[in-house]
Amino acid sequence: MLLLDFLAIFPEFFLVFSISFLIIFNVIIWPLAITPNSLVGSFFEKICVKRHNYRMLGDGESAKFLYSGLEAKKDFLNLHFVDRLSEQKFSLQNVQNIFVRTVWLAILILFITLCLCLNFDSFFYNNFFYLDNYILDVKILVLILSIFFMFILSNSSSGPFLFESIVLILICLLGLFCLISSYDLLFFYLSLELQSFCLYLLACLKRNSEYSVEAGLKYFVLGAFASGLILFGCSFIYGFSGTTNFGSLQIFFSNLFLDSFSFFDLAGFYLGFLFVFVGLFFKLSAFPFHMWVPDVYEGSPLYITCFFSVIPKFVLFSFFLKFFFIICFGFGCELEMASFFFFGQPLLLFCSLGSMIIGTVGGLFQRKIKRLFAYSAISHIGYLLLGCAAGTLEGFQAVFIYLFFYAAVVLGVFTILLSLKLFKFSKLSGGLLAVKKNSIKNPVYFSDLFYVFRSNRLLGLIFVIFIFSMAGIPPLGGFYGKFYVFLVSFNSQLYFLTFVAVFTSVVGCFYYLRIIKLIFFTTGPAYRLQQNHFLAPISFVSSVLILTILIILISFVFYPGPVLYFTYSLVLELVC
Amino acid sequence: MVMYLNSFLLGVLVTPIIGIVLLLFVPTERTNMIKLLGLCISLLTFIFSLFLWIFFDNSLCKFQYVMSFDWNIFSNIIPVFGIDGISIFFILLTTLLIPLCLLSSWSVIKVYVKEFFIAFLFLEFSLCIVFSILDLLIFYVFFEAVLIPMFLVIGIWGSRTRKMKAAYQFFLYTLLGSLFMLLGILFVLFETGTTDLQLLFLMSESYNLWSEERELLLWLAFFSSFAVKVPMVPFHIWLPEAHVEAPTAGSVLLAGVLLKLGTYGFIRILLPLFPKACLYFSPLVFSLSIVAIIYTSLTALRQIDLKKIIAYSSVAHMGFVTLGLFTFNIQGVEGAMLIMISHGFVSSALFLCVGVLYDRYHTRLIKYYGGLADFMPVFTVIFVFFILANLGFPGTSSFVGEFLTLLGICQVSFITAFLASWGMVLGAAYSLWLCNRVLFGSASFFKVKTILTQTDINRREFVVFFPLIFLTLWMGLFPNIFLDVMHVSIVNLLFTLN
Repeated sequence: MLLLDFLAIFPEFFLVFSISFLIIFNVIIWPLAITPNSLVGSFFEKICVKRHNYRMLGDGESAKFLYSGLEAKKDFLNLHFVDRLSEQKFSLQNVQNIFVRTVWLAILILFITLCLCLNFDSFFYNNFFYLDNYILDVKILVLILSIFFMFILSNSSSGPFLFESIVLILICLLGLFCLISSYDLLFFYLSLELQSFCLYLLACLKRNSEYSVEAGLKYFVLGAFASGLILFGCSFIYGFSGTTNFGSLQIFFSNLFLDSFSFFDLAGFYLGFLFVFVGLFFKLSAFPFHMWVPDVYEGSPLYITCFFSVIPKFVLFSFFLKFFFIICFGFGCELEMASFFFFGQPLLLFCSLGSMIIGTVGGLFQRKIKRLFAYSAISHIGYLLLGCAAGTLEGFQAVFIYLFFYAAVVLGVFTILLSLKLFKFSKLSGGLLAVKKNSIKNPVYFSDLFYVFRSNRLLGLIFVIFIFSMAGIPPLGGFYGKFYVFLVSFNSQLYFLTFVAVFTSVVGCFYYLRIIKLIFFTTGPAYRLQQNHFLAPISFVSSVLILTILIILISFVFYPGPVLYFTYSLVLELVC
Repeated sequence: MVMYLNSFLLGVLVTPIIGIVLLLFVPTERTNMIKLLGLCISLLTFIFSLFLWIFFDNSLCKFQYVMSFDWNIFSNIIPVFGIDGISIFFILLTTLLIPLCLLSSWSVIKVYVKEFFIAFLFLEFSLCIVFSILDLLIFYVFFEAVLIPMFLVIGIWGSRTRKMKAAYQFFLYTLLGSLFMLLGILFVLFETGTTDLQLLFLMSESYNLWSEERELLLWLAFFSSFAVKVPMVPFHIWLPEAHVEAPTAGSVLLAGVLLKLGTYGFIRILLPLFPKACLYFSPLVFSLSIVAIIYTSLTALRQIDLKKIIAYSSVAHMGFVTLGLFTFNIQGVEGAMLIMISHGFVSSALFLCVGVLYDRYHTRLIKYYGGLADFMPVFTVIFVFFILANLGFPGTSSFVGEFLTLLGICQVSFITAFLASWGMVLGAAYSLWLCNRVLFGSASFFKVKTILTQTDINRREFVVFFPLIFLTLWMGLFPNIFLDVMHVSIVNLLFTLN
């Protein structure tokens, strides 16, 4: 019982234990897993054949094209098809088996952690560790998001299928957990470093790709610099106040402005917080510190990009809100007296303005999917910071609504991207077609998305709905995030910023529409050239995940209560 | 009885959604079943909306069939649905045109049939909500939601490669315009604490809600969005492009209903909420409308594309509508309403006529046509009828509307009326010349070759045209049945204005 209570307060300990278990388990079973499990393998192969049978000859024009040539010798083709498929797969099969097994174990671990978190309902703090309802809710949300992410991974079609990546992701989650419940500048710094190191490693996981190594190196060098700045800022704050504890700092600030201090007395604080903010903005990929984002997004493996763009960002932003709240509106502090807010607000406004503009302008001429999403992430951060800069409780609520839909839609888009697999066919003698060797690939360029609607219309339609939601077109969820942000920024008299936000969201539509154009409208030579491509069917789990996201995005129009209530209670918990 | 009546409006709103869900479960290959199901659903919606008309109480100036839902209590946004004498005709127009659109594209749409029908049912759903909602924010949401299906309709089923440019222009113009409206709505929400139109009407009747400058700014914010949709002249560039590149059904819906979104916004939101700003800006609107009427009529004269001529004539007619709305007298506003409805019939029918020609000859350029009267007599009769209706021939619906509008304008400013009536002359010029070039004269070699294979309109196409002919004549000969319904609401609107 005691152990359970203890674990409920510190699910981090459970995570540490289970991660070490995972590592040991994988190291032990590594040699055992090399011998393939023939029974299970053949069973899956049979299912595979059946599904391909249906889907290949189902709808879509390329499938029709295929069908016309092949009806007579269908059986033979299928055999051939599977043969080629398995030929490509078998070399990787065992490694992938281990990977999938580790993913399922990770899901189990995360699920137990979730149960532990749900079990806990009081609050706890000591000098460096803090746990209240806000933090608990953020943890629960992060766990749900990561379980979702793990389910995507279990059906991912793109590698590298290394079990180490799962372990690293779990360690990163551990770091994020510590980060969100940190109550001390030093502990905050240490946990930030823990998660950053995992992210550096994850970015260069694809060792034989130049892009990936470049991404990892770039991220590491710049990230280390940003961490150094944070530490520098922390030392400034410590030097001027003599404490690193958030609670003490809060009390310190709330009393500080009662007396009249000159600007120079407080310059050290301003400088210290400026540095901490800079480091956080770097990690959040906000405007002046956004240079690493497109390269890192592009270079890292696809599922790592998905992880990057959702989970650390969510936690960091929740932490940022808490930190911002503590230093700007300490207890007992009236808004007029919170002069740190008037120091912080222009900073946020500047970053949000820049992020919105850079994010939209930079995305206009991209040709690669991941780079585009990197730029769209930058612009989304701009909107989030705008909501934060409004400095009201409604502003925080708007930020949470925006974050919720942002996380949902990004997960949805990446679920689709991760479950897509392109095949290229070559003609054999006698009108037969077969999968070309080494032609299975993931979508990289926009033009690869062109097959989505041709091969699987419903999937294409859903993808387009996701994109429209990202662009913030009304009846979908993404619009409400933007709407609430505009609402609060307008309410705080940030008219110019709101105007810019409106304008950038129109310009941003331009590049989202380009994706839609490529999926739906393309005809002509490009179409004819690439008719021998088609998409492999997506797995059952992926389709369930996609449907979940779709329902979340659409149902808000009809029933917005739960999301609004939840975000509102989050804000109240943050404040109280 | 009240509950029973409300269920008709609910039926109109919900039936298309049910249809979409049902369509999703029909296999893609069974195109006939998809078409039949889509048509039945749209007809069912039309029947529901007819019941709305039948049970409508002409003597009430309040909103009828009112129903509300608890939607977003946090932000004090509670959607209320209701219909008055103004909005009922837009709902009827929408539900009438959707089945006609689906019928007209019965054999034309060959790829992605299911998606086409889903897109149209979704359009119907959003349009019905826009015309029946009494809440600013939800109005905005569905006003914008129309963009998604229309963008896809133009982009996927449009005819040429230029369609992408058209789809982009349509989307971005409208989006940019309406985001200003969003800012305006946010402002209204902060100033008054509500977006409920009924409450806002009440408040603006009793005292000044906004200071003068704010009212002018708000007016401009809303106006920019509606003016793009109407379209008024400086914002009309998207319209000819979108009309020309869209498939026939798309153009019909664009001209028939989507353009009315803007004027509906004028009459529903701008006039009652910002009466002073409306008075202040009415010279601006007058001059824009006059420019629209004369300039686009002259432009239509020198077009060589059938659809473009009709598109530009639409802009001219919408200029008449905006003129009528900003006269603030009963003849002007009622005339504008009648022009809107009649334009919904006439220009839709003209686009359908062009669609009939395009299906047979696969070109829209006038120079390839000529002498159609010789071998398409029934079509010729219909085409001439609608051309006459387009130029405002007495006995057709446009005449009543334009006459009333001019009457209204005369009371405000004679010179405006003088200039506006030039639009009718120019309209007659391009319409008759178009008629002359397409229907009469001698058939060239190109045409002679196709005579053997092409025939007059078939039964399905006649079924599409018949209701429109009937309604145009009915409204032209006996407009009271429409005027009676809208009269009380419009008098009420003008009463609050003065």
